[in-house]
Amino acid sequence: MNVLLTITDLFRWLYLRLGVDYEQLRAIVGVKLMMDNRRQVIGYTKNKKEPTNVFVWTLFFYALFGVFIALAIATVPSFMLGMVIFFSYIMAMISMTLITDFSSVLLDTSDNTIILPKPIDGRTLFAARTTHIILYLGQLAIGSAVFPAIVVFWQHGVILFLFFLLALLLAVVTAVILTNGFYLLLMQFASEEKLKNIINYFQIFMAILIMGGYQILPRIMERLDLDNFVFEIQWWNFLLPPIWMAGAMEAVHENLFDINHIVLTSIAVSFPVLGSIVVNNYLSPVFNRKLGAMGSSAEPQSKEKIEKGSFPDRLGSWFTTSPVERGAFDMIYKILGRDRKIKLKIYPAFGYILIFGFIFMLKGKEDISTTLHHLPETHFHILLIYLSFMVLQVTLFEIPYSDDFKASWIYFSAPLESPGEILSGTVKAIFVKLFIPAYLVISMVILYIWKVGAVADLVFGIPNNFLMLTLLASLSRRHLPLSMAPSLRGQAGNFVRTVLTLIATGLLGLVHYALSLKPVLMLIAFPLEIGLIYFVLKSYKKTTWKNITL
Amino acid sequence: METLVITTTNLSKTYQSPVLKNINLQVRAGEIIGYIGPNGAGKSTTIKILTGIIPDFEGEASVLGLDVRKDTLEIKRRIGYIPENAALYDTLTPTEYLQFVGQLYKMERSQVDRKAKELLNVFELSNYADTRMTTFSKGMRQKVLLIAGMIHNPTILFLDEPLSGLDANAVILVKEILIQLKKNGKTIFYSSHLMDIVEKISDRIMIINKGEMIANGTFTELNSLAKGSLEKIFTELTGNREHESAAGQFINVLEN
Repeated sequence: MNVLLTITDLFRWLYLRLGVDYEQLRAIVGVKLMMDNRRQVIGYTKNKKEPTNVFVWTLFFYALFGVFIALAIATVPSFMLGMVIFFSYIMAMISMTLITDFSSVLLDTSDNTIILPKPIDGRTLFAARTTHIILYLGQLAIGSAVFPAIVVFWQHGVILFLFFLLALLLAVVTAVILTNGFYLLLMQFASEEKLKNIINYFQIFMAILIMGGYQILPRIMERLDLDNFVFEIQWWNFLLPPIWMAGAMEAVHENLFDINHIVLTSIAVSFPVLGSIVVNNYLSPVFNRKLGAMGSSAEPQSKEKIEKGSFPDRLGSWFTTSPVERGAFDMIYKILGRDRKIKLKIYPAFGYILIFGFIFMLKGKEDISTTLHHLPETHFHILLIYLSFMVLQVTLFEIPYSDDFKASWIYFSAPLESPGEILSGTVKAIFVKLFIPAYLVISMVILYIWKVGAVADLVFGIPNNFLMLTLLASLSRRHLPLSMAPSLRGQAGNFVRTVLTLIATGLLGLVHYALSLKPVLMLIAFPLEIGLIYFVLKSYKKTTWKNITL
Repeated sequence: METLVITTTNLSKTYQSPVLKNINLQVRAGEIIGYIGPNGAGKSTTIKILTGIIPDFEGEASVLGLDVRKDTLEIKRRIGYIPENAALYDTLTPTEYLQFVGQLYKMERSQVDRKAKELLNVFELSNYADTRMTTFSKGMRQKVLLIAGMIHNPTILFLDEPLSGLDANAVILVKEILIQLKKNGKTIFYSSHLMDIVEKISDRIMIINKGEMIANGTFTELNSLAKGSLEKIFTELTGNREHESAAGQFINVLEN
């Protein structure tokens, strides 16, 4: 029996008093929780077998993250800073989960066709939706707060522990209200498509933030003098919800009732209470109405017309040599900029370029300004030149997979002697669409720091990166673009092949490094490089149907 | 003598179990063939073999006098295929998708653009020509697929459930298009569950059941096997005569 449903049963009386049909609510919540268990979390593929103890596992994972926060609370001498870290974490986690994981649930219009036609009143449906979200977030909040709560209890006693639990509840409610408000605001001004795009970019941003935070925060913490840190409340702190909660906790902990702490405590308590009233009475009906209107409009969306002869239209003709190759180039070029799921997989790699750039810079013992000062004397720019290759590598791995994989019937029904030109068009589109823009930005940074001396390296870097991409494509298993179900991802791996490919591409980077020691050699290597690309690409274009892994 | 454009001899296909058993087809140029059968009878498999999508099969098959095994590419150039599922890359616009298809057929870009514009107009999709297909209804997608299957002006058209999702007006339009294509000498191999349309437009009707051809003839000829509408003939021949009692049983369960 589902633990969460059992917990819900405890509040049956409350639902009945609110006029909700409890049996219907239980059925809806039960099915939604079951679907949550089956929903694939990004980057995590579940086994085919139904997971049995998901509740415990979920709690365990959140609790594991909570351990780090608990350690921060226990070790950071400033109580206020410890609380700010905890509440920032909890509120960011809840908002992020609501946006990234729960967008599909919040904006799910299938209820309109599946549940609304059944004899269910609006109140029950709304209560079911809210219960579902609260149960999910409750798991997250309880799991994350277990260890921090133990630390608070251990270090500061039972009274503060009880206040801590109250503040936790207020923080959760505040995060939910703010996120819902954010959604509502977006829905007022953005169409369904735009809303989905905004959420998509938010998800990409979050993926980068998580990776960045994981890599960079510990490095920054190492450089901070936490022992002598004193948290001073500034005017802008009043705009940050985690600081409301932390301020209220500090007020209780230190018996501080100056104007700053009184205001922070008042906002911490009143915002969630007043916010709940506003959400229930005013925002929820608007939200449901807006949601009801979603997915039902057949209004034409914004147009995508690319004028003939315009720059994007000409790109294909510059980089391809046959109609089939151009067809693939044009299609992939457009889809890379549009398909949200593909973007979610690929675009975070751009953020990783920044993150790894920083990590390499923070590696030394000196402070950041000294490191930056000495940069022009290093060959660090060569590394930067090849960081964008990460994007190409991720894209090449992701491009065979698409939710629209069934549309690939067209490759098999069209009169294609071989699929090689489709593959080469795809590789070229990936390079032009994703690599060139990133490389232009990196080039500007490099030119700013290393000046004209780096021009030769930048020029040589372009064909060398392309050669690496074509080699990677040639050595990897060959799949038609957007032709495989996303569930097949990960099954096509071949460890030896991957290692060999990495060695081959790594060698090319080393060759560049060696050549950069004597720039004149680069001039000689350049035509050689172009010749190599020509041959690798030519052989790649000869890919036959037999070479394709389906 | 009339030219045969599709012939098969003992065409068979086995996956885990046989799905096609010794199918012998003879289709003349300019004919509309209604190819019908229950779900899982082997209709789509037959079409996929004849269009070169499924390469391995037993028996012989030729389209436009060309061997399906050896001359696949030339056959693909000269035929059009509209698949059962309205699957297309829906982040593209109809215009972009048709340009892509045109490029796969190595058509002139200007020709594709002109045809795409005019054909989308015929199907009342002009307003959506440059809109991504993500929010398109099934019928709208089906219209784009129909255009994609015919834009290169094929000699033979293979249609697998081409009318699914289309509204009544679009169905009438497609029916009319098929009749006029036939008048212009095109051959149409048409698989569908919609019996009344098949009955009205087909020169000959072939019924396939459990991988075997069980009837092949004009509607009048089939009528001599089992009297009534095509629907009646179909149920009679495919052995599903128990509909009335099954429906009764269903109602019985509902009401108790």
